[in-house]
Amino acid sequence: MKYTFYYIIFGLLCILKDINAQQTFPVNGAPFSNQAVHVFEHAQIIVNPTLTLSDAQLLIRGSVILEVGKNIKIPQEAIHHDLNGAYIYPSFIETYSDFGITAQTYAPKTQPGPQLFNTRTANWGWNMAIRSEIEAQDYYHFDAERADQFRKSGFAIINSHHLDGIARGTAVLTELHQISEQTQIIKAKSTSMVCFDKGSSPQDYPSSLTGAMALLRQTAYDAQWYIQQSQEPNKTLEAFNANLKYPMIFVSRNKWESLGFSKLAQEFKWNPWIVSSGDEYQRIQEVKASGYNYILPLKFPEMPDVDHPAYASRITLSELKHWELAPSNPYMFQQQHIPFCLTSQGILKSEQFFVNLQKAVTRGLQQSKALEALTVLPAKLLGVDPFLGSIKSGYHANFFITNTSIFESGCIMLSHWVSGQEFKYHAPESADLEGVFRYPNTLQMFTLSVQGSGLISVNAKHAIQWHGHQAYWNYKDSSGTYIFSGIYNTNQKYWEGQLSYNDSSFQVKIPKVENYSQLVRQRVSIDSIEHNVGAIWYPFTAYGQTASEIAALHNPKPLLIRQAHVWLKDSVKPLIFDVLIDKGKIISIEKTIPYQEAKMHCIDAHNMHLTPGIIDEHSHIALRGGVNEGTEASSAEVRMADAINPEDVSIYRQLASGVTAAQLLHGSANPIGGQSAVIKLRWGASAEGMLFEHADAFIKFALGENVKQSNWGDYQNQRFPQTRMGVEQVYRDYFTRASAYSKSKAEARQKNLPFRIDLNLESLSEILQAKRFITCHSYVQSEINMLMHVASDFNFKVNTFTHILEGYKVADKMKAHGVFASTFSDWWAYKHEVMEAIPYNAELLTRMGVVTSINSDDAEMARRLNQEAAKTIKYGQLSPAQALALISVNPAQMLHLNNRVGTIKVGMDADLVIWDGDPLSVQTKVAYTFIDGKMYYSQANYKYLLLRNDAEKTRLISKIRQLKSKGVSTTVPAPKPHRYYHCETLDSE
Amino acid sequence: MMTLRLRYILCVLICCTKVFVAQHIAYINADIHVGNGTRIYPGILITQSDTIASVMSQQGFKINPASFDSIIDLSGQQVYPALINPNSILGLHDAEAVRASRDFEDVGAYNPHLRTQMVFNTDNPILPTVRRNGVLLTQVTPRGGRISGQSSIMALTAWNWEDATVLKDDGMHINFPEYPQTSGDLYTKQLKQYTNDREQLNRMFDQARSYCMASSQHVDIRLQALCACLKGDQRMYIHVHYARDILAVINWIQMYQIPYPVLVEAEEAWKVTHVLKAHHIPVLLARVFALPEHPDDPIDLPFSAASKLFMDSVRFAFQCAGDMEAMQARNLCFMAGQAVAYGLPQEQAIQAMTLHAAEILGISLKWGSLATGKKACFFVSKGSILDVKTHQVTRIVWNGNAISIDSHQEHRAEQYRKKYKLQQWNTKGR
Repeated sequence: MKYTFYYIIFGLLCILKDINAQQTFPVNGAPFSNQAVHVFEHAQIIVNPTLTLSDAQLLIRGSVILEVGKNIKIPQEAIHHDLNGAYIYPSFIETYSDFGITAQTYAPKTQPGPQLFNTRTANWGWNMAIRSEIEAQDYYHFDAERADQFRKSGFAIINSHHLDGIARGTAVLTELHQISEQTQIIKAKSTSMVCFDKGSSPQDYPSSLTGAMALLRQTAYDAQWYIQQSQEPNKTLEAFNANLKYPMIFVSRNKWESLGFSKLAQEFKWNPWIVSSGDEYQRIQEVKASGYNYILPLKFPEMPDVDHPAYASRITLSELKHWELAPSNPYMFQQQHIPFCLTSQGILKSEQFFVNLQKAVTRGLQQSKALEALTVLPAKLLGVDPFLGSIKSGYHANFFITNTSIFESGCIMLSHWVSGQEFKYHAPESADLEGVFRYPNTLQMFTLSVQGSGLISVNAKHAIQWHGHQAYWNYKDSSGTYIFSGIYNTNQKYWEGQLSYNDSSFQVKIPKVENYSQLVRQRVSIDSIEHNVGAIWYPFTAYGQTASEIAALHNPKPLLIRQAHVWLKDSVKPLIFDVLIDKGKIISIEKTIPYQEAKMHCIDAHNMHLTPGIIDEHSHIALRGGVNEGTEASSAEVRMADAINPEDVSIYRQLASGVTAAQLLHGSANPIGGQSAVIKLRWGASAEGMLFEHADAFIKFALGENVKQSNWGDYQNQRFPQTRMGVEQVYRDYFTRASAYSKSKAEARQKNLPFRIDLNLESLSEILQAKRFITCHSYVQSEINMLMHVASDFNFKVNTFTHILEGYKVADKMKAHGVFASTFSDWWAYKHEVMEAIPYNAELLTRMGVVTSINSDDAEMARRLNQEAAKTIKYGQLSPAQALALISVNPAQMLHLNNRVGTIKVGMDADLVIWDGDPLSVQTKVAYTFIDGKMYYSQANYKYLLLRNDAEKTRLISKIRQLKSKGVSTTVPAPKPHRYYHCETLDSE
Repeated sequence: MMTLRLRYILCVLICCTKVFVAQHIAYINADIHVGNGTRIYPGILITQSDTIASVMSQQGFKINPASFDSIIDLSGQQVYPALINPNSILGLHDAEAVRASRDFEDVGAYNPHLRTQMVFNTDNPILPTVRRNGVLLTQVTPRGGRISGQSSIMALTAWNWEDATVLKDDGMHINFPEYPQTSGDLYTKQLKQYTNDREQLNRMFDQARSYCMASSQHVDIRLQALCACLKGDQRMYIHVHYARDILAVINWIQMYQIPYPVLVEAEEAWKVTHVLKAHHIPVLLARVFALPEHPDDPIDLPFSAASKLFMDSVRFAFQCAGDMEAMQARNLCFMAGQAVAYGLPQEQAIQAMTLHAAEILGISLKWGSLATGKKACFFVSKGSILDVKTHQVTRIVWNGNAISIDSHQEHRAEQYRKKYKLQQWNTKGR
């Protein structure tokens, strides 16, 4: 119905695209021609980002630009438009949108319980989140309302994607004229899109970020194989391959995803453009190094309401800082010379688009860069630069006219010409209507401003209807209702007409008393408040450090730790030594080392204790997007390294507790979990920078109640296995398959046959080749013994049993197998399978010669691992040295890192902790924590950072209050509760 | 099978403990932590049957061996009053995740009539593991809903719940509505819900007040259950977390003139200490071993909360509610120890687990400190109980009698030491 309306309006008034073009669509009645010649004179023409002609002319015929220049020959039939100094810009090109696309989301699941399989037809891919076969063109319908918003924001070309699924198929490129829907389509398939957001797929896999990344990776391998084989018909993979010939766009949800996808793209030699989440400025060096181009949002976070009763106490420093710095994102990209387009995605109002663009420019974005990012570069990305993106002879007649430069705050969109079709928004004089007016014989004033397509009153509640120079408004105050109807006198600058008040009416003149420039002054004062911004912190959270502080951290002088009680590996008690560290290593341990003031720093550690940094064998901190991909019995393909979150405050809290390294494990939801990530707690580093260099590869396995889904509710009774019988067979089955896989892979390589890389079996065959090592979540002795038998049958060793609460019952067998044990000090009674746990477990295992550690599996308990180790003294009478080994050298050995960390010895990494007393006492606190010889934590620095957090928060809050008082609107964002993961956490965010 | 064996062991344990007959005993040369914030060294503690006859300094005191049935030399050891574990589901479940063993939360929002006393399972395998670290009393507390029901204070050593009862139905537990912390539409929705919840709670108490004043009418067991806490025959424990809600609670208890209100958890109590002090409202402080709620918070916030309350003279006791709270009760001392590391004086930390806890819970007449006339319930440790390393319980005295300090866990360890031919520990003589 709405559509018909448009045809009546535009079909009649306007013009058909090209009289000579042939088409299959019938015309109702005689066709309109579109060959009118228009000339735009006395214009400031922005021909392209680097060339502006003043007092120039633009000549178009129909939908095409004929000529642009200073003294061009004007044909006699031309319709003249005197622009009187107005500006002409080439229309913008939107690269990332879902304009006009009717979403084809899946129906939500109606049955409780898991959905393991695809419910699509058989010849489509196995996973419903991979939707490469979707072509946005099939679901495109013109959306007149949104089109108008786009045109008012300067956009005439829109690249529309279907935004659902991990692989999202191809986009359609359209032009926002309203001549006919068919002719709007410029390219039926323009770009392809991928992301890590599963979307509406009701299928269980993937449930986590790591799963989503693994799925995309596997799909890429499947697609490579698909080309070579002929057994399997698969529309999805076929489309995935076909789509690779279009420019790829990746949609990121945060900077870590952008960086994570960059790595994945390198693996497959893709050359994507990344749609930024707007926070990449926080990691601009890494973004630069990854080498990809970006599409940056001009949607910035709205100003948070720091006075909202519920929200104010929840707001984080990181949110506040991001609100402040986000408009600098484009500038940071420009500084690093990273090519970028700009997108309006997410901005609902056209006025906001220009406000945000101007804000980005005040932060340092060059106007020419901004224009390039909206015209030339997107045209190039979309392969339409031969006819779109500039004002040039032969190009589409796509341009818009504004009263002034779009980078000025008073800018008004007068009209937008798309393919030669005019969309008129304001008369050129409309700017004249703006200003402060005063009612005659009163002091009552009101301000009118042109915003979007409306004339609005800024500080009084006038309801205005407006057309050209004619207006009608009413407003109420305590004394009654006023109604005005009249016209604007441009020369005399007043409104004249009739004002009725209650029952009487008068002839009035309402003069303008102040010009718009005063309003601009208001904007300027806001800009000046906004202009002073804080520094970027690494990480971008409370307790973060500035770039210069990070630089200082990374270039330490040699450090002499004097007269500490040093816990050496084979000594029964700590001994007093001087320890010298340099270039990240321990270089000398002596009774006394001379202090050379000029060459080194020194810490006087009298009465203090020096121990190796604590190593947490079982941790789930510093992760995002979920720890479990428990949707299938084996998820050996997922990598925790894909999901590292270096901004988890748990890192800093644990540094303050002496933890320097941790193994980040997949959860325990399935028998074969995912690949571990071993990290050093380098607060401030990137995800990549957290990883422990050259660490061996590990994988999480799990036994018992969790993998049987015992405590997941009544509906989780479908996924195999549900019993311990099933668990054993899962292992035997997968290792049999992995073994066969390696064989056929070698054979295929030899004979050059097509071979499908299976990341799951790839990971499992690494175990068989002793290239990957198992950490297995375990409680009950029967299944512990079972896994050791399975391992022996397949000729490998289980590396570590973690939790291993009944380890004491099979300590002899574990010793014989050569497996390590990583346990809790005293946890028990939280579920059925831990009822036999005893606090003597670590002691008994240790005395039996099994290398044992105490781990946390908990962000809170990890802050007291020293106390947990001390419990083995209380319960098991271990010596202090043995107790300390449980959290230092022993976990180091389990992680095959005992040649790097875990002991204090010359040549080892300087991952050290200085304690203000006996490290095994509840009363003791960490004084300093070092990783690679760098001081990542000290009590003094903590106090400093605490004060700085407060100062920064206070500064930002008072800035927001200042802006609020100037009329800037605020919003209350959705709260993001901090997530702490345990083994059993099943959901993702 | 396993459980049966476990029960058997427990029975034997308890039986053994009952063989001794309480006598006139002097414990000498002891380092006595009285529980009231003072410490006596060297001290002598004399028990007569199940009661403490006297506690005093040994300086100048002559011990006449003939006047005692037995003299126990505690040289180098420390004596502490029975520790109290408030607000806990200890005794209401075996394996927490096993539905069949869970007995601490029922259906419905307003359940003032629910009682925990007779659910408390004296054969629960967790009890001995907690007891052996010095926790001899626990407040068995129901969970869930707006009004969860009534707790009872129970001993960790007993044949059955009747024997175990120290104070029956000691308090009513209310989860006070929480002001929404969300935003947008959800905030509006939750704010409405919050207002409704507040009104509903008020309605309940209006009705209860009227019901309890009326002399004869039909019986409503829910309203009936609320009379004791309104009259002051029972404490009212109000579970609340944030400063804003704490203030709302203070306003609310004035409105209903609640005689004995106690705040439970109250993580942000340190923000409103002056108000709490002015209204004499004590706090069962949220677990010390907890993470700060907000990522910007000082990293040691829960560690230092106790010392903040102490500095501002707000009466408080420690408790362990939270993840795995039943088994974690054995770590109560170490939570107090952590608070000491963050500024709480040592004797005050002990006081918070003993006399202050007893006063807050209303059992200080007989419990909470080592004083003449109080129950002879205490324990002995080789070193300070506030530190993991030195906490070594060598003796537990319950109603004047020494009881076993071992649990099935020690027996398991012994079994396997035997199997592996490892050296056996003598748990008592360590």
